[in-house]
Amino acid sequence: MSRDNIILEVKHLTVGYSQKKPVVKDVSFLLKKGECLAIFGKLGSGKTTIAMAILGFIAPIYGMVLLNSINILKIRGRKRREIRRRIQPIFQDPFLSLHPMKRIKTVLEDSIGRESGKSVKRYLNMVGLDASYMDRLPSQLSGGELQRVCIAKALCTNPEVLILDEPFTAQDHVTKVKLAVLLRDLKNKYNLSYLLITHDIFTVSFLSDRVLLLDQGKITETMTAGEFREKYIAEL
Amino acid sequence: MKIRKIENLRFGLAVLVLIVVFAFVLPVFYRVSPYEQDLSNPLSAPSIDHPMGTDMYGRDLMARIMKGTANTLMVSFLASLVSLIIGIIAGVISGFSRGIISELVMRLADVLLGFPKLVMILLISGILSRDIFVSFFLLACLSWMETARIIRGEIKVIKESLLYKSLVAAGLSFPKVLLGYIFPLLRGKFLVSFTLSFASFILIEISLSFLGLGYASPEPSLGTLLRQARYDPAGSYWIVIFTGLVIIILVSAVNFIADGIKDSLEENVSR
Amino acid sequence: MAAFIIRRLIISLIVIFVGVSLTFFLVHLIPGDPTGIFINPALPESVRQGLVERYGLSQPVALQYLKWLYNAVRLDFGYSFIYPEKTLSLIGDALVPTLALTLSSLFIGVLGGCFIGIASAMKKGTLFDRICSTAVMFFYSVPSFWLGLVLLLLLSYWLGIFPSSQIRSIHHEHLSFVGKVFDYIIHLLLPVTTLSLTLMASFAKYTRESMINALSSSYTIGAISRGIDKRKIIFKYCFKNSLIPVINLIGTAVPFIIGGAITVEVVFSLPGMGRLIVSSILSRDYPVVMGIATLMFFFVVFFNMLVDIISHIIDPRVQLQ
Repeated sequence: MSRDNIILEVKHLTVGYSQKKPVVKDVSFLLKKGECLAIFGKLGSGKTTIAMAILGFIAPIYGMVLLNSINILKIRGRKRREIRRRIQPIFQDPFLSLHPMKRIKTVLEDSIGRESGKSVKRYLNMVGLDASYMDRLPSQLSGGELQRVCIAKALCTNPEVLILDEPFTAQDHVTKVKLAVLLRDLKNKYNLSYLLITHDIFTVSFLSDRVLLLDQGKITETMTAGEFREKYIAEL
Repeated sequence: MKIRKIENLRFGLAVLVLIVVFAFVLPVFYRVSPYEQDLSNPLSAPSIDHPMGTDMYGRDLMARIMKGTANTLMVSFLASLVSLIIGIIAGVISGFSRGIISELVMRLADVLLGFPKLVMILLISGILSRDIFVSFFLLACLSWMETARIIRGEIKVIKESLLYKSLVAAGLSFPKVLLGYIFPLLRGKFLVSFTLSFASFILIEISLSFLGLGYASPEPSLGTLLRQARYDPAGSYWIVIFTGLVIIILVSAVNFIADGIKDSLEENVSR
Repeated sequence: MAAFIIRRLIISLIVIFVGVSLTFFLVHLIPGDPTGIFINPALPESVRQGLVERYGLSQPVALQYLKWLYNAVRLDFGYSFIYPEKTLSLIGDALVPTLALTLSSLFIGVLGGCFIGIASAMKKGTLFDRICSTAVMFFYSVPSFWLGLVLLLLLSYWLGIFPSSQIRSIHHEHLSFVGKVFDYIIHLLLPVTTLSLTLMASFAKYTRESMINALSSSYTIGAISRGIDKRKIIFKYCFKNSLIPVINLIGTAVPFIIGGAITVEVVFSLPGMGRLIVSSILSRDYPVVMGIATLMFFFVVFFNMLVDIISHIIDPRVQLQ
């Protein structure tokens, strides 16, 4: 693994709400450019907390998060906002991630910000939605469509990394498959890197290249996707 | 139940509009002076010349009530606005800051909340300045607490939401997030706070003027009219009746509106 | 528990300290000679000098401040400009009628209001409920002194039944003991009625809402469907739950009583705190004004602390907000 290839590096991340009982214990891993790394674990194993820490919503007790070798947790102010745009989250419930009173067009325009030349339509097309969605409100869209909008919103900032926190858990199975295909295609087309956080076996086996198993805040195993499929799907 | 509440709201709004028209628009057509005295005709009953009768100095009562309502409404409206703005600022500061600053603001709020507003404005008016606009402005500056507390609560909830996290992740600047996203969500709460303050300030103005501070003779307000009735009770039945009528209608209307908004907000949430 | 009380006490003391200091600085903000504020300029020079000495008014502000704090804690607020009495005794005299008015109105208002509120909640939608709600809305929207004015005009001037002012008749001293008691009562009847009605309206409105919520809560519905006796549920659960916020409401009603009482007292010319506040402000009797302000502050802070502690005892989930 050459150093140039690594886009995100997490070192000795320890996060918790109290010093004595950290929820995430000394977690370290690397994310290569263009790969999808899955963090697989039961509910309550600390997966979402890792995501929150990387995104900067919880200050870790200990540890570093390096994006392109820059420790992003230490940066403040305007630079921080710029860096934030490079790592985008996709959350479980798309309806709650969007402002109920704002039209899709406005939401995407706000995310695009000052970068000119890229229109809302372009991003909608990237996720398979046509221009008619621009003037709609979130309440008028289905779950699958909403999640596509969220993906489009994330793409607006030209991110390098997407953090997918249970992205399909709230969707029905048909939509789940369609969205998974969409994300895979996007990753290949734009050379994105994914950190996939989920307890869903299908999503892991379909999307990811490598898998980390997380139990009670600690990484217990590392395996390739192939090994994962053997272990879990064979058992079914 | 839901339908009745919305009808209440519309009814209240309609009545309020009528009163505003009565106070501000009608005087254009009913060109009788509220100040002109006619000592030959004091405390008369309603007649064609004077639809509501006259007060003890022969001044036309209807004109005085119209002007009085306008005066009361003006001060109360302005004070409510100031109170809302300060409340929002305090709530936002308290909601977004952690630790000491947040605590301090809330402590200060607790202290001020304990004081009856009427007493506060009596003291302000008595010690600092008799001018009604000044005293009401100062009172408004001391009435931010209820709004601030509500706003602070809402902001603390919003900060934990996925929406807020998405916005921060997208790298939007703070002013944009606050004004573009958070404030629209709080619109309803702003309105409720404003309406409740409005009702409260109306009653305070009336009480203050009744006690002799606030609007001073010969300037009429709903409170001064009652004051005159008190100190010259013989025959001032009409003053009491008509003024009372306007007050009841006005305050009820505002209360209906406040209740209506509050209820329709709750319905939105439970959806 | 003890820690909570102690913490509350300390905070209250700090708040009192801040408030008393503020009163001092507020007065010193008034343009003009502060000696004119504390000491009646109409007094002869020699007397004034003595008072200036006593209250240290020729000394630097910092020392004056400390003296003020010292005096305030001892409840020594100097002499009134208008009346030949110590401020404190003036206030003391005025307190009695106000308390008589306030406490009885509170008693009647809370009891009546809760009763009506709960009754109309239980009979929701019936004629009784609609009549009550309309009446409540009426009394809620009306300033208490307007009500008092109406009662005054109606029953006192027009019908001549009740006396129109003061707390005792002119010939009060000559009455027998029973006569005196009756005299007090008849003078207080109208003002108490006025305040009680206004209070009843607030409490009725609040308890009704609270009771309706309790009645339609999932707890109640669940209990009823399990066959538990309806009456028992209502008494044990709904009542209790509606009453807890009522205690909070009483806490917030105290300021209202002081405010509402002022105007009512003025309407009926009762020689109470309300009238004292207004007259001392209008006549610029500063020592009295400051004395009242400080005492009110003590009272409010103390009472808030009490309410907090009681609420905490009843429901330990209540924390310092």
